[in-house]
Amino acid sequence: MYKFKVDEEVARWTLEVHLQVDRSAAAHWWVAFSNPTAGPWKRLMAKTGEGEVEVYRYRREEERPDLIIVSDILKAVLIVEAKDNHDKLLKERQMVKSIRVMREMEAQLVNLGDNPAWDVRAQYSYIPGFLWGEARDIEAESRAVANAYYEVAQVSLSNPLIGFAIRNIDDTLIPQVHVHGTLSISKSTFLESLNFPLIS
Amino acid sequence: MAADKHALEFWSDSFHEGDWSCKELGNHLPIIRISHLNGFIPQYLYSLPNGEELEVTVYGSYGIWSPLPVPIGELLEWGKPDLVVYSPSEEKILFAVEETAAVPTGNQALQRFERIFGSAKRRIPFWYLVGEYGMHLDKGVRRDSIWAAVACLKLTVIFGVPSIVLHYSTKDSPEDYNAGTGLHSLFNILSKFLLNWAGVIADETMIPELQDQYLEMFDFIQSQWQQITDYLPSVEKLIGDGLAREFAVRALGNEPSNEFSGFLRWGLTRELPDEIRQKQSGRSLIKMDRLMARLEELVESGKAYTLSKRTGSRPQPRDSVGRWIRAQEGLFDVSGLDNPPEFTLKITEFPPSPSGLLHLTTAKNILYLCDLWEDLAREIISAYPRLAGVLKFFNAQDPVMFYVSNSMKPGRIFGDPYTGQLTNYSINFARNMSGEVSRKVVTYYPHQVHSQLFDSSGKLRSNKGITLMKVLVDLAIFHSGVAVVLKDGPIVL
Repeated sequence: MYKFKVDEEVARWTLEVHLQVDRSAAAHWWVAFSNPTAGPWKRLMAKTGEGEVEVYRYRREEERPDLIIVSDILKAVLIVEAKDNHDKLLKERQMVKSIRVMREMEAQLVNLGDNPAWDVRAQYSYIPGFLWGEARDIEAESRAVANAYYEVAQVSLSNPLIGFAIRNIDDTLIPQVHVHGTLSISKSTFLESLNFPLIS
Repeated sequence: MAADKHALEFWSDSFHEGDWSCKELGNHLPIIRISHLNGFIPQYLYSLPNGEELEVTVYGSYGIWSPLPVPIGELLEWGKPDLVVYSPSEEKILFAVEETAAVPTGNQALQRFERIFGSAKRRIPFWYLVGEYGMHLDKGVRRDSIWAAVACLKLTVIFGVPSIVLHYSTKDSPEDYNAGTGLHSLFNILSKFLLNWAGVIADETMIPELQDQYLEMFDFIQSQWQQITDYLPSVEKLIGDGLAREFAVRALGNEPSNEFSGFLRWGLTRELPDEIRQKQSGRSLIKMDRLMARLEELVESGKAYTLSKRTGSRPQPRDSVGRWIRAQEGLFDVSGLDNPPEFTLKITEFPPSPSGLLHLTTAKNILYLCDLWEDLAREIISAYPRLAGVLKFFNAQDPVMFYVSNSMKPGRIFGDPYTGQLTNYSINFARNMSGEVSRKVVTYYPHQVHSQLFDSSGKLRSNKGITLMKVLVDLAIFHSGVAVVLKDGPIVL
């Protein structure tokens, strides 16, 4: 067995694996777009009755978020920016870029109401999220990221923000989540939809 | 009783690519089970036709793993293929794959070719899945260049391994992985290779698929070459199942056929067909450069030739050019050189385009096939007198491939797309079908300083661009005529 480090790619992939493999999470959430470090994935896809349909294609030089996940049950779209660790997210230049990417992406998606494959999803709640690896104290790290976000974005603390972090417990990677601000649904419903493992 | 199980590792540039490959392979070998080790490492179990099983573990993102298997680390020196299939029990790479969504136009068309060469050199089978049709920045649909396919034919014969370009997409569905035959063909042959490795099928069973793939490469070259070059030697022979079968047989390591001798040979100017030779003429430069002006004179006087007049210039923003010049000047270090030259790049020498951008392009061609080293050496010394008396490496009669990159951004020449372009041209124009050097390779970087090759302690830096220069380039000439021999050195002149 090889040793590994948890970078942005691994953090994003671990979250994706959980959302696809965990039955409860998979029943709630699906991945509309993922931005791996390499590969041809530059299309944003929507689930429809006839399978996956492309609803948006990024231009070559266009900035793109790292992950977009959708819950048709909760009527929510999470636009997620990822980095190797939370320190990298805290840098002001990075935070400015992350917020710009999230806002531009949200603007694109709420304008897709005329696209039958996206349709009512244009009316969903669009929630920013951050994801990082090498997590040790998810609560403290998430609070630091949230503080930086609210300050740079200049929005009220009641605006929702999701912090995802990947913990490494004896070489097993476990996604964790922390919710900031107020969601349009109950926090417990949101947490149950993700069904992340509890760490004792 | 448990079935016999074979174990392989799929190493990839990202988990998505490794996982995607496993799923595509599942269209050819039934998947029994998918699981995830450590919460994130995909592991696929396939059923083989003889009742045995194949377990594939995906290691995405090369850089996160340690220790990296030695053969994989060595291969990555030539760039990172999207997929490397590795047998840990044998410590051996079975094959590698590159698949790209990059638009196959302009400079992009040959990027990543160094990975194909790096694999072939190690006798690792390589498949390159690339879009046949792509959307250019101007929204027009463009078709792939022929040069990767032509060089892959040569690599197949030289090294006796599959070196194959497969195309996806169609004119009506550009950049669509699921259009065209390439994707299915790729995983069909990969599944056959895996079954062959597992001892389920014999070598001969793979020949029909390989033959079809080489035939598709012939057909593509036949239908596209006139859009890319005015001349392609022996293109008329690139037809038919018989020749495609010869390539397939050679790809499996059998002795090369006599039919290959003299194939794709770029001769001297006097050997060109009359109508091609008569069309050769020197052309004006976009941005003045003493050496490039002399190269055009060699063409005009019938001592060198170029391949196409369908070339252009992509001007750059003025502030970028200014920044790059300052950066190059900061890197310029001529300490230790005899007769040291001066840094002379000035923004005023780059002509503006109608929109105010600046042209970096010197000559309209980037490739010249020169008949004699003595002619080229004379022109180099004429442009850079400081090199008089020191260019004594080659025989006067040696033919030369001369490649120029007008790039100015520091470090750019060591990465995509220039590394792929240089590697591809070196194979296509400076090697014969036996792999022997048929032309010396001279490269010219008028806007790049030589000092970038070295670290602060004066040692050659380590990157894929320098790795391939050491193997493929006989003489590199940098800004102000600083010449560097990398193969047996470095020697800086």
